[in-house]
Amino acid sequence: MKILTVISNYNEQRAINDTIADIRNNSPLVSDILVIDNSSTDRSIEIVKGLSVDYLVHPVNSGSSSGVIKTAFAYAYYHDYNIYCHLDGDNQHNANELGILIKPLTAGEAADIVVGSRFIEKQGFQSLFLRRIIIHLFSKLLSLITGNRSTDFTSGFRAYNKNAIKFFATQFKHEIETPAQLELVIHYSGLKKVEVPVTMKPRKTGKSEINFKNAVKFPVYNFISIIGTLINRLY
Amino acid sequence: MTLTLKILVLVFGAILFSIFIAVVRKKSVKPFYSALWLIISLFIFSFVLFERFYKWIATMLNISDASFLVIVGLISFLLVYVMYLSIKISVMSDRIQELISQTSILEHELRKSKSDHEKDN
Repeated sequence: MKILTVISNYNEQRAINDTIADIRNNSPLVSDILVIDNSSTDRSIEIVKGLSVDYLVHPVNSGSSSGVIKTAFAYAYYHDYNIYCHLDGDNQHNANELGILIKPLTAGEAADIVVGSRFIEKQGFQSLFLRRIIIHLFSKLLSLITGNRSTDFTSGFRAYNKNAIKFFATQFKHEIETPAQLELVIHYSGLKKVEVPVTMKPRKTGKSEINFKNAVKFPVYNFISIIGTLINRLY
Repeated sequence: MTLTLKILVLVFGAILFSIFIAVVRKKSVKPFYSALWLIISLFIFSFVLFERFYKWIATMLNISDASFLVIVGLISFLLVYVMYLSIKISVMSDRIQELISQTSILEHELRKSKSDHEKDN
């Protein structure tokens, strides 16, 4: 079984080394590691080159991390991978949980997508209070719309099987603008998503995307994208 | 239309027209959009030049003030134009993402085959 582990990177020069080391030393999977760089302006890609890890570099920044996911789907489909696992380059995910993450894809549970959720067992880093409330409210709304339980729709710790890879690489040609939109697209495409409990580490180095501007933008953009996706769904 | 309003409209039209000329000379806008902005500039000038014509249409439509007709017409035109641009942006944005992904994968393949070639030699 061919497994691809993708690390998304954007200006993570202080964390990318530890993220790769964590996967190399602690991942229970035999997988190819690929770093996808979203046109970083720091030295992170130089660090990646020095670590002899396979990498892709976006020629220009694609705006959000969803661009990296689109590239990962295209790459995984092109190279005929069976499973694509995704981690963020900020070293907040635990590579030793990759086994837990892909289990529903391989254990006959008929899942196409597995999302690592930090809010099921509520252990480890739980994010800032305001962000937690926003995630909780949106998760409730998405659960209500889709009828499936969703607790951590923003999680970047995910695994996709061949069906999901094929769908996103060949059928869904649009830009994924927000995590909420991704949740709805998964639901309406008929792909089965399950969540598994994981723990997240607090960010030790580097700069978080969470600031006042993004704290305001995040709920507004996600809400608009939910409305937009539902309107598109109607016609 | 009062004299002050006529002057204001003419000044605004002249500013818009000179921006249009500057943009066309720099070739920083596509011909289709140049034509659209030319139409908008001329439309603004026409408020003053063909005031009687607008008054006649306003009377026909039973609108008491011709200025309302002009404002509603302009806003409607701009809204349609903005909608057209958002459609264009959406399509372009999807295509750009596709190109970013494909370019990075191609660059990766090229780099890999170059390194394999160097190893073989």
